[in-house]
Amino acid sequence: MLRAFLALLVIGTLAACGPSGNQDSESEGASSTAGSVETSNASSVLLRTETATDPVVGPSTVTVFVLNPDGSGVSGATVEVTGDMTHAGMVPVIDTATEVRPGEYATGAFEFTMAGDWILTTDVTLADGTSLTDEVELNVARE
Amino acid sequence: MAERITLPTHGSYPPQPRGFDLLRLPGLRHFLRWKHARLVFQLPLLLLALFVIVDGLTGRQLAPRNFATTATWLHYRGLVVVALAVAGNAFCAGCPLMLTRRPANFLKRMLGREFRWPKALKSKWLVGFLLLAVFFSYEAFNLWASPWLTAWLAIAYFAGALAIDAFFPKGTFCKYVCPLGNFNFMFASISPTQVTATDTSICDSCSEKPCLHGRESYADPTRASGDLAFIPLSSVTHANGEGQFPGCETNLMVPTMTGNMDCTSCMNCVRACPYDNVSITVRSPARELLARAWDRRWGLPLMTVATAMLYWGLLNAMAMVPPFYDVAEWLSRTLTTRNETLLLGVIFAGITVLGLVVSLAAAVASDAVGGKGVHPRAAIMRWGYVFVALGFGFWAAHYLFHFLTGAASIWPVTQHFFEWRGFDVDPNWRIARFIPSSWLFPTAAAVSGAYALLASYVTIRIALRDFGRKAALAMWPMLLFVLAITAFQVVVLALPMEMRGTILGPTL
Repeated sequence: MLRAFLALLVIGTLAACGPSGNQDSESEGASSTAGSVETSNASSVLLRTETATDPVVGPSTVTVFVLNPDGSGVSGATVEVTGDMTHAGMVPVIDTATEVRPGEYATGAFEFTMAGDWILTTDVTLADGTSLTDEVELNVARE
Repeated sequence: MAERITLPTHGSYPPQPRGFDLLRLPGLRHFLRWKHARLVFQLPLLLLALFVIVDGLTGRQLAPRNFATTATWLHYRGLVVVALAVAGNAFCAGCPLMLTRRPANFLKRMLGREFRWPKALKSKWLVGFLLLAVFFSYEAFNLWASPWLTAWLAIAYFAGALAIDAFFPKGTFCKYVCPLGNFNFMFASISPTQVTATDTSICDSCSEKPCLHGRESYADPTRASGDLAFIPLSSVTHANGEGQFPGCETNLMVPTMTGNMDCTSCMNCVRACPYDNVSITVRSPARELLARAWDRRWGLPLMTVATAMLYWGLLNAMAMVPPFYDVAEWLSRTLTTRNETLLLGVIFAGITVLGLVVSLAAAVASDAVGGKGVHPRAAIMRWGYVFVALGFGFWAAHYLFHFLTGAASIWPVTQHFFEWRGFDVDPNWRIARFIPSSWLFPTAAAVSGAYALLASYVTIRIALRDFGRKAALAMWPMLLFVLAITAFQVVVLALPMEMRGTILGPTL
């Protein structure tokens, strides 16, 4: 009986496990999304990741905005954008975004290699070493 | 309660392959005769299954970065087809689901009785339905994109194995229920190895048939439980220890085996045979397809499911190429519905029925041209083995394509498993491919083509076997069918992939 109870307990616990979300900030939307996270120095920094509206297969620019609460840009950050498809094993597209204006970072060689569902993960490291992550889901159409 | 088995009379054993015995490789026989040999394969796979469940339920819900989706939909599937093609049913041999056997026996003792598996389910129809359910669920619920659902699928397999084997005779789950195992059983028919009797004259004089029923051996006969045939330790050739050595759980007797159907490669027979008279024999991949092995085992239900597998394999790949979405949109407009489950159901039903009809037509045409008249059942049982070869070729090509695309990603995914849980590791996500991307299509097409050649060879041999002077006529409808299906397969492999979570319009 004890074993049966323990088995039920395990099953109940597993059943309570919903899909865990991203531990970092998560954004919604197709072509332009926003997310914000608290930094370790207690100030609030806003991340916004943008792609072209209705992205298609081929080269594309991903723009990442790193902004202070007052809207001013945060300079000197290291920004990396990773594009994953929703199927395991697909080679991710990884590109570093460079600062084109204060707080605005753009990729130079990012390419959507396949049509379908994509997830863009933006990893930002601020000058003070604080790490931020943003995640954007979007659908890429055929050319 | 074990099923009643009709044992063959003396001298009636069917011919078995007589190639090289892999157990002659140094150390292999000794290892496989070891009582705990199977655990050596099962424990690592159990560990991997635990990783799948833990990361699937609690890890990052991004398929390419989660162990559940990567290990299941990339590595398991890829390595299964590689193992089937070059060795045999290796994954059933190491199946961790069978580690539920002890808990199942415990539950069985608690229940105090064992139920008979319903007679109506003693065929491969249920397996066919469950395979279809898995393939349909894969598309309908985007299992490939959901670590969480993938983990639950793994849990469901463990729970299913436990429940079925707790209520019903052991081996019931493998033989009548398990979709994974039956996928392997069907396609192990093209594997280059088979369990055989080394010397059937020894089987003639063996009255206990321990390969089937099991045995127990002790130096001290008073220790015998009486549950299994007692063979004194002194009578065991190359004795492999004391204790109980279970026989075949799917009721196969080694000298009567004409193929790999229902053989889980558990090697119980190797351990149970007191005369060390079991071999793992190398054979031609065409041998079982030409032996009419399924006529005697499962017959039409199995052949129908195996034929449908050819089309479910095509559908599984087509569901990620642009024309599939165009067809879905057209169907949506025609049926005036945006219900994707309904549309997917219509597509699955349509392709299954269309595929079976086209296959049957090709088989009947070959029979008719060869002068055998129009007998659909006889035709499909004769030519169905051609569809098995074609089906495996495409499943292998498709799964291998994905495996080679991202096999190396298991390394950063494993690193991420620990990173997600606070360990200081930095996965290198650039690691993914095994081979250059320009090699992917040629490799997949070559695999598909190789099994098309096997299907053609089987076609020609069947024609020569059954049609005498009309063989040259009888083979042509089937050869044209093989050519047409192979061309279609290569076109599907050549199309650009599109991975969407919905069949109508964008998901996100």
